[in-house]
Amino acid sequence: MNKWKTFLGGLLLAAIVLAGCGQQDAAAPPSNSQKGDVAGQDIDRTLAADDDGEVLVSNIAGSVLIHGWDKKEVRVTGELGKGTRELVFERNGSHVEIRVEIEKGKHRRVHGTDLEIWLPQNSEIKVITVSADIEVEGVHGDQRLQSVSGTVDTLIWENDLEVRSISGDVNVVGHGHAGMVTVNLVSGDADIENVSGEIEVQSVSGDLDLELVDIVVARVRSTTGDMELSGKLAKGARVDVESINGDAIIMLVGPVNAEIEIETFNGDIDNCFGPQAQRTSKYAPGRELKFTAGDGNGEIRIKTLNGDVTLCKK
Amino acid sequence: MSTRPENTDADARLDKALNELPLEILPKSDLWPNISQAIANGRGQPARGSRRPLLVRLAIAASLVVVSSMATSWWIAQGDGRQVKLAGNGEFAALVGPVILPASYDETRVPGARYLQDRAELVQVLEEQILLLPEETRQKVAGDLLAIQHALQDISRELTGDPGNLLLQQFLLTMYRRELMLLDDLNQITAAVKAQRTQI
Repeated sequence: MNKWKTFLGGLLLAAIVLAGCGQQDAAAPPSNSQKGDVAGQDIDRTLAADDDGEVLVSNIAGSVLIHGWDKKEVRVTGELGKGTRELVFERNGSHVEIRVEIEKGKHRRVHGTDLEIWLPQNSEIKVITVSADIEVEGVHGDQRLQSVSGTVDTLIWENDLEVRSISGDVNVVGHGHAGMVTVNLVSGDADIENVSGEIEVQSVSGDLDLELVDIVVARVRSTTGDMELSGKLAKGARVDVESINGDAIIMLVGPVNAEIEIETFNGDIDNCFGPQAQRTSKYAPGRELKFTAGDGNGEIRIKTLNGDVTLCKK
Repeated sequence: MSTRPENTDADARLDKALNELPLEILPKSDLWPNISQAIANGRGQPARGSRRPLLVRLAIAASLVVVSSMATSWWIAQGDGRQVKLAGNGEFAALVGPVILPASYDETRVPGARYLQDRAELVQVLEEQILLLPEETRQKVAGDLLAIQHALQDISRELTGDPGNLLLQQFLLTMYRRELMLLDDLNQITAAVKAQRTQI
């Protein structure tokens, strides 16, 4: 009987100890290694930020929608997708970072997280995604946007813009202010409108459509995609267009003052400014055209291997 | 920029060579007696057995069109990289391949040792890093790398026939640069993806 009492007493004691341990675990804050899948969790968090600080956003899949506002704070809302481990939202000096982290070993099964972010309108932003689409509006600071296959849509003012994308399309709408716009694409198409200043666009197979306002410098290069560039030449403007197998259409607005040089190895040249292109050789299909329009203070150079060139007034 | 001086010399050489070509080519023996005899014997008429009904000929023509279209589609699919999955095991290095050089070239107009080293290093890094991209994107990348390869092949082939053409020489260098820039862009983007995934 005593043995039974001793056994039951030990069992009771063990149960009390175990129960106590359980309560202690439940009360402790989760450590980094214990964070699990937080899919479906709603986010609505805000941090104070500098008026012209830097905000870095990274999100693998889903979408990133950014608005500039006149408050000195960054707000993030959204819902975390399946396979997400946590949302890192932290400030370090003038830098704010918003990062969607995924669970280890779930790289191939990540469902999209849609983030909507409000940040001071003069912030510089850097956004990196894999398949997540990026949309930016109301941001006056410099923008560096990078996506592997997501679409990039942005509105810009006088700020510089740099976009890199592999297969996603890029749409840029400016407000006519001068800035430096660099777009580097592989397969995606680029549609850029109402932008002035200096612009450099490169693509391998994507089509490029550039409706610019005042062109100071334009460098446009493509391998197999077609391109169309239009705008008004600023004083001393430089336009450099190069294509291997795509056609190039250049439509100029207003008076044209430039030294113009067009050369193709195997393409036609259609020029609306007077002189007609000449064959470069009696036996080769190439054509070339050199002439001066107006006072010739600018420079337009167009070269293609197999593409046709059209140079006209819009 | 102009290619005129080189082409003027080349044109002159071509003119001379063309003028030296015979205006007509005569057969080694007079064939007419045998031909007239064959006509007289009726051997010039088509054999009756070779005539087929119109429907049969149309069917043959249609099937030839279908086979030809299928072959063309397959060839295009092969050529634009949609069949290349870039799934590791040296596929990336095989796709990029060795540097394409024209049959004859000026040493100053082709990539130097530094270029070759940078290219080889990027190809080596990308062999693994490219796997971080979704399969659909990898196929698009493969198609674009092939587009550059095809452009380099086209330019090299044209340069073989016209080695002094400055425009072709410029495009050759442009495409070498563009290929390296594409590899560098891929490296930067995939490195950013890698960093994003290892920050956990």
